Amino acid sequence: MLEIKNLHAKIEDKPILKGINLTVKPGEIHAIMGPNGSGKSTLSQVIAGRDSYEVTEGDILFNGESILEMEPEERAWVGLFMAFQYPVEIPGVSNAYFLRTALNAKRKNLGLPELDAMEFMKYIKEKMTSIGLDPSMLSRAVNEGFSGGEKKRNEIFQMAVLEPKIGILDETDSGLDIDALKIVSEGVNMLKNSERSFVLVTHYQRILNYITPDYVHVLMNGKIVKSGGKELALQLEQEGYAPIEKALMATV
Amino acid sequence: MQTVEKRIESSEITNLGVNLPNWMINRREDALTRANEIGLPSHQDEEWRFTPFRNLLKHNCSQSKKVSLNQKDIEPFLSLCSRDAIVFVIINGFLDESLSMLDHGIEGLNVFNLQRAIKESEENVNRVDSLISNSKLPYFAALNKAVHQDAVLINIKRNARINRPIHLLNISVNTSQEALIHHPKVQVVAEEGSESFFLESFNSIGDGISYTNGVTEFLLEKNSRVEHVKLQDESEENYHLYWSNIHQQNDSNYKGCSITYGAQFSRNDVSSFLDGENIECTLDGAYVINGDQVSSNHTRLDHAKPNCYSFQVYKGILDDKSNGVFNGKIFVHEDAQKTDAKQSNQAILMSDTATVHTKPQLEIFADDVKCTHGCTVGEMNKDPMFYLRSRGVSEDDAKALLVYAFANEVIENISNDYIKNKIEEMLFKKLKRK
Repeated sequence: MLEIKNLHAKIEDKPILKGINLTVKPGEIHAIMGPNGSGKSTLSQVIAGRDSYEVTEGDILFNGESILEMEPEERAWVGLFMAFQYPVEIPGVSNAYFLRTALNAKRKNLGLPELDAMEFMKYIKEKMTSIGLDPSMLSRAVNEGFSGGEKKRNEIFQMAVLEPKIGILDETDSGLDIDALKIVSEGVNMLKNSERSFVLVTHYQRILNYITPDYVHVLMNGKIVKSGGKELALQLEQEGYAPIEKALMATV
Repeated sequence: MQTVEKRIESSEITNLGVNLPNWMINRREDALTRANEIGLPSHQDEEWRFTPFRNLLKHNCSQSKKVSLNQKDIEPFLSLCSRDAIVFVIINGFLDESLSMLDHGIEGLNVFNLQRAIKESEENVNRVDSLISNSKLPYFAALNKAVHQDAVLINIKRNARINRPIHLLNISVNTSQEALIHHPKVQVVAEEGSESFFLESFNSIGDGISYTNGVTEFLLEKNSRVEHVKLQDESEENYHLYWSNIHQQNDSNYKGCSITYGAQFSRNDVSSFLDGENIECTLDGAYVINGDQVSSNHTRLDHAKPNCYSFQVYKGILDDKSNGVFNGKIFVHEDAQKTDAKQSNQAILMSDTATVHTKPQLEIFADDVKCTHGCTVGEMNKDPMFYLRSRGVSEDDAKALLVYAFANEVIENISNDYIKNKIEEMLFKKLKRK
């Protein structure tokens, strides 16, 4: 589904990603872990199409086709979704209007009829109940005045509404208390199915107590230096990143 | 003398086919003297600093003649206001009696053209006209006062609550090769305790170049409330000059909102004199321009007495090579203790070639007052753009949505939902024209 091949990217003149290879198949959950500054967030942003990063080498394929030349909205239409580490506040735009615009843009692109206001409300109410969100948030401005936890929950809600093929969670767990973490995890577990994949980008192991990954990768200095099963996360939790770093230094 | 209007015939001042009282003829002649004294905008003139007015002086105009339109011609403009509107159609400055609802049958609302006003309400005409002396008028307002050929006088009677919107529908018509100027004039007397809502719209018909030089004056008596939405969407060949003066007495509330979408050049001067206590005055505005459009917006608030509130929010959205100016003056007179005046001005530049000049100007002669002002000018913020697009909202829609949200702070205050929605719809259209 998602194939990242020898991906190099830089911001301004600073290389950040230095040859990433990663393959995610339908229904799989991958965790990408790494210390601060390893390039985790850059990877998410590059996949989502942020134009402040420049891809200098390599490719990202989604269902066999390169997405590098696609605009961020086109990536969303084919089924990519990134949950932001810092969801943006947009005063003056209501959640309902925003979501309907986004959903209809996607539907239009897939050749589906757009939903009118009534149909949309019916569709969205069901989604809200499943995520456990208060319907009053629909009339509020996007993320404006939301607590950290509410913002992250809103990201998961948007994902539920837009039904992507793959969800990239960019440090969604950072800054969350344990209750919020549980809610976010429950949302992901609910949305997970044999077709839909997830990439969890995270600094900490603790979200993996609630979401079980099929694979864990360690990102350091712009490269994936180690991959393994979920036990790798536990090992990282106990030993930290230092032993891996050390081992790497020794091989150089 | 150089004028925008080719030559002023003395007949334009004295002979309108209407028997003008002497005081009025004198005042019109005096206004012309005033206009001649000031002369056209120049670069030495502080009031015209930053406003690129070169094109404004490019044409020599003749004064528009009275023309008539039929119901079908005005249909698109009628839809600017809700169906319950009481409509008065003003074509090239002349009140069109056949298209206007002069027999509206609403108690407490009197509407006259100039001729009828002189006959039936001369005192009110004189009252509003004397609110500000000719010696304080800027050039274009003085020109209007000297040569306007017709006027609309509206009188909201004591304690009358007019719960239907009054639509002053201005249309400038020019299908000729020659540039034409016309001078619409509106005077409103809102008597004690009355309530009314006005939509004053400006549109145009025809490919010819029109100069609209409008003057609108309000007198708000004690405890009266007026909401006034001005909507300018003239053809981008047109020049639009507009001077509005409001005079407020004790406990009155004026809520004004000026929306600019059209005209290649527009200049709005809106001032309110708060001549009493416990007055509220709102002067909001939004200008959304692109191409080579120029929009220059000037407000002036005079807090003359204690315990009054004023609010101003102006928002500019400028694309391409457009050029905007905002100048907000607040004068707090010596007696005006406990004044609370808030002013904010924000502009978004959507291109590298758009420019905006903003200038708050506060002069405070009382010591116990609260005055705040702030202005920001910026580009479209990248983070919200990326956020919206990453959810599948196209770049154009994301832009429109964000700009809409920005302008909405002004538009959402309009109490008439129909008009509010209409203005929002026009905003979307204007933003998505590409």
